[in-house]
Amino acid sequence: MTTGQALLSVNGISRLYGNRSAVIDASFELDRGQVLGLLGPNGAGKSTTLQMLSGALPPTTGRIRIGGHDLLRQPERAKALIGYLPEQPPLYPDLTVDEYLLYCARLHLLSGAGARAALDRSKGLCGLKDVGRRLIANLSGGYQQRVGIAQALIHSPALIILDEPATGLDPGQILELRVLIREVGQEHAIIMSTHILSEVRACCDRVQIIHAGKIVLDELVRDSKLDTGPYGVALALKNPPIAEILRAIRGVLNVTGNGEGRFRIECADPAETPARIAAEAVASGWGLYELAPLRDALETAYLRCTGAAANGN
Amino acid sequence: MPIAIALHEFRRFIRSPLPWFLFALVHFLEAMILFQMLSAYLEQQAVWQGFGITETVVAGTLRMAGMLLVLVTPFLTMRLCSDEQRHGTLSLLFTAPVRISQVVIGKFLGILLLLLCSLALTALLVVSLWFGTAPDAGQVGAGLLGLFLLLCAVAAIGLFCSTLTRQPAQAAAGAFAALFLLWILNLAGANAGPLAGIFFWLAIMPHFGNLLSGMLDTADIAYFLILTGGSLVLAGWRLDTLREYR
Repeated sequence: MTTGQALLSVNGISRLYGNRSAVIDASFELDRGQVLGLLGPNGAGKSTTLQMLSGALPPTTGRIRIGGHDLLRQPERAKALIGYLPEQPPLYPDLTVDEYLLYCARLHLLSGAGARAALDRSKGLCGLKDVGRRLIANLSGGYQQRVGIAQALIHSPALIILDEPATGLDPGQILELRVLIREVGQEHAIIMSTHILSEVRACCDRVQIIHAGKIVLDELVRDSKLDTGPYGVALALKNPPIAEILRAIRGVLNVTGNGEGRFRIECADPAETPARIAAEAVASGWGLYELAPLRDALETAYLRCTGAAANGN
Repeated sequence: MPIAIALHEFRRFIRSPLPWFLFALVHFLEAMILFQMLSAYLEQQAVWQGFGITETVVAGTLRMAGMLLVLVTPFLTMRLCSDEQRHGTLSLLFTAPVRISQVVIGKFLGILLLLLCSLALTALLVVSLWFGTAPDAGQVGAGLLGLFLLLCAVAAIGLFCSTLTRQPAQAAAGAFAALFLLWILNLAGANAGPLAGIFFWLAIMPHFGNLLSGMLDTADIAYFLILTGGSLVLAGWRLDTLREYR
C-alpha cells in the first residue's frame, strides 16, 4: 500500500443501464477518519454509486482505487478492505446470527480464533450480544438491520460503505447507530447514503449531494459555503400588524406574508432576531402562536442543488 | 475459501426439511426396489440362469437410484443461486474478496457433500447383500463410481440452471428438462441415421450403463467429467454476467 495516498480514490466513474445514465462522471477522494454522507432524492444514483464502490457492480467507465489497489484489476486485494451494507441487508434467514456472521468473517479471509474474536467485537459494537443464537428469520427488522451492519464491520475494513443504514431502526436505535458511526469513523473511512438530512448533520464530516447521477455538491458539513441563504423562521400571529412593522424589527432582512397572519421571515442572526420578534409580538399583543425555524443551511443547500422548489415548503 | 462456502451451503441444506424428505423418499424406494429384485432373483432362478446377483440386483438397484436422484436433485440445486438472486445475498459474495470460480466450486462442493450422504446410504444398502452372498466387489465399486459421477454431473447442471433464473421452481424445471433429455437421448440414437452415433454418445444412459456393468472406460468417465466441468464453467460465466448487468 502506498502511503500519502487517499484510501479511496474515485476517478470519473459512470454507469449506464441500457442507455440511461445512473451515475455520470463521479470523482472524489476519501481518507480514513472521514465520514461522508451521500444525500439525494430517490433514484438520484446513490445506491448505484455505492454498489460500484463496493465492487458489486463494475462501472461502465472510470476507475476506483482502494488502498492503492484497482478495484477491477486487483479485486481480491481491494475488496478485502471494504465492508458493504446494501440497501437490502444480505441475510440468510435460516441461519443464526453467529453462524451468519462467522460465515461473513470467513468470506473475508478470517479463520479460527481470528474469526471468533471478530464475531465478538462486531456483535459488541452493534448490540447483538444477546441474540447470537437466534435465527435471523425470527429477529425484528431493527435487529436484522443491525446484523447487516455487523456484517459490514466484522473484518474491520478500512472503508465501510453503508446504504441507508438507518432503514427500519427505531429512534433509539438510530441514536445508537449515530454513536456507532462516529466511533467507528475515527479510524475507518465511512460512506453512508441517506435521505434524512438530520442523519448527515449528526454523523458526517462531509456531505455530497447527488442529483440525476451527478455530484452537485461536495462540502465539509461545517463549511461556511453551506450557509448559502439567510436563516428563516415561520411566524404565525392572531392579530398581525402590517408587514412593514415586522420589517422594522432589527435583524429582520425580509418578510413575506400570506395575508392570514402567517409570515416567513429571513433573519440576520438565528438566535437574536427570533428572540426580538417574539418579544415584540408579546409586547404589542399580536397573539403569537407559532414561531418555528424554517430550514437550516444543509436543507437549503439540498433543495437548491436538487432543484426542488427552493421557495416551497 | 471454497470450503467455507461449501460448508455454508451444506449447513443451509440440512437446515431445510426438503433434503430430508426427498432422501427419505428416495431411500424408501431404493430399498423397495432392492427387495423386490432380490425376491424375483431368488424365486425365478431359471429365468436369471447364468447371471450373477451383481449384474442383476445390484446394477438394477443402482440404475434406479440414479434415475431417482436425477428426478429429485433439481429440487435441491434449484435454491443454490436462484434464492441468492431473489434475496439479494449475491452481493455478499460479489463484494467479498472471493473469485467467481471459488463461489462456483464452493457451491458445487456443498451440494455434492449432501448428495454424497445419500450415496453413502445407497452403498450401505448394496453392501448389506454381503450378509447373504458374495457380490462382485469390483463391479459394485464401478457401479458406485458411476453413480457418483452421475451425481456430479446432475449437481453441476442443476447449479448452472439455478444461476439462470431468480425463480427456484423455474430453475428446477429447467434442470429437470435438461437431465431428462440427456437421460432419454439414446432412444434417438437407437434408430439408424447420420446423427445416431452423436445422440448415443451424448446420452447419459450408455455411459452410466457401462459403469454399472463393471466396465471402467476412460471415455465414460471423461463424459461425466466434461458434463460436470462444462456446466460449472457455464455457471461461472453466468454469475459473472449477473454481476455485470443487474
